[in-house]
Amino acid sequence: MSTPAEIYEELKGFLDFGEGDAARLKTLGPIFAQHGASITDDFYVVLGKNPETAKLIEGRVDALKATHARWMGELFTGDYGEGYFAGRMRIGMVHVKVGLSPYYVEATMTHIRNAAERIIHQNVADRAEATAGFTSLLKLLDLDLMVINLAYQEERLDLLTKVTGMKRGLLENLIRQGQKKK
Amino acid sequence: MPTPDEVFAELKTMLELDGGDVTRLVALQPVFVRHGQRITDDFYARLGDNPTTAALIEGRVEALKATHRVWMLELFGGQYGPEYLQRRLRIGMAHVRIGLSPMYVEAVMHHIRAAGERVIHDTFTDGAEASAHVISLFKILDIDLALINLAYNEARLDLVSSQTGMKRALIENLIKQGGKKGR
Repeated sequence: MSTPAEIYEELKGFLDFGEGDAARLKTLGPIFAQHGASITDDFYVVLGKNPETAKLIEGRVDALKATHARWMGELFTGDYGEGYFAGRMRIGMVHVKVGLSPYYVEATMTHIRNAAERIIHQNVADRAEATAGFTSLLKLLDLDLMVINLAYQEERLDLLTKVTGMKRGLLENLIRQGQKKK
Repeated sequence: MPTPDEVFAELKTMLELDGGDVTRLVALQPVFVRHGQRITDDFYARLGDNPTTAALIEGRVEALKATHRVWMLELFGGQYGPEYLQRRLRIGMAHVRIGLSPMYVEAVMHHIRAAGERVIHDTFTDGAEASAHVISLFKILDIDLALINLAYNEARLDLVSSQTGMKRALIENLIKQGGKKGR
């Protein structure tokens, strides 16, 4: 099994995430500094409409909005190394601990992606440049989503290990053996 | 645990997939009939570049390309009911059977999203109209991805269940208990 850090590097390669993307993301920073709050506000309206997610955010929307704004700001710093990865893994683990299914993270990422598409095309006059900037953001949002899902799967098997006493390696082997039998 | 049908209904509501999206997706069909082949070809070129995915597709690229094309055109079929759900869950389960980690599905979905955005902006002269069509495409792609991941998570726990003899509900409870303890 590859370590999560190795998987992160492999994912960056698979998405062709390179220095050009990092540079384009950095230039998008000011646009999102200006419009990010409206994306965050809309995001929490969406979460508030769904009973399952509304329950999880109740009474702490303002604190969560601040965390969300920080997450968004970090998308545009231009630094996507180990520190960035560790921060995103922590976000995934927090989602498991509060009992949030990963599909909610995926569903809400749609809203962020869609809002970003509109904002970039409204603020970058050249359409080819807007599409290139948006593609870089898409890569990073997908990386974030994959890391959050990765953390979810890791944490879920870890919890099963903790409660059953079965070693993590044994569980991984059981899953692999089951796959071979099919 | 909600059933896949409940999750599907919830996803459509949460992503606000409405009549306008369905109309826009149907309108996109000719665009993807025209450009879809190139997206599929690029997609398999990319899978061929990665050793893990290259091993999985070796010797059957043409058959897989045909399946991929069917999947892509179904995105624009305008019908997103129970049959659509079943087809998407089957795709997820097929990925688990061949031992493909969902992160590869997510990674390649990225390329489809990016290629789709580019094709749509190249097709529509009006930027706002293009963005509206891109957003409808992203909604259905995200629903597909969430369903494929759902099938993956379900099938993975089923494998632990069949290998250990522990009931599936027991495993779910254990995970929930562990989650509470871990807080």
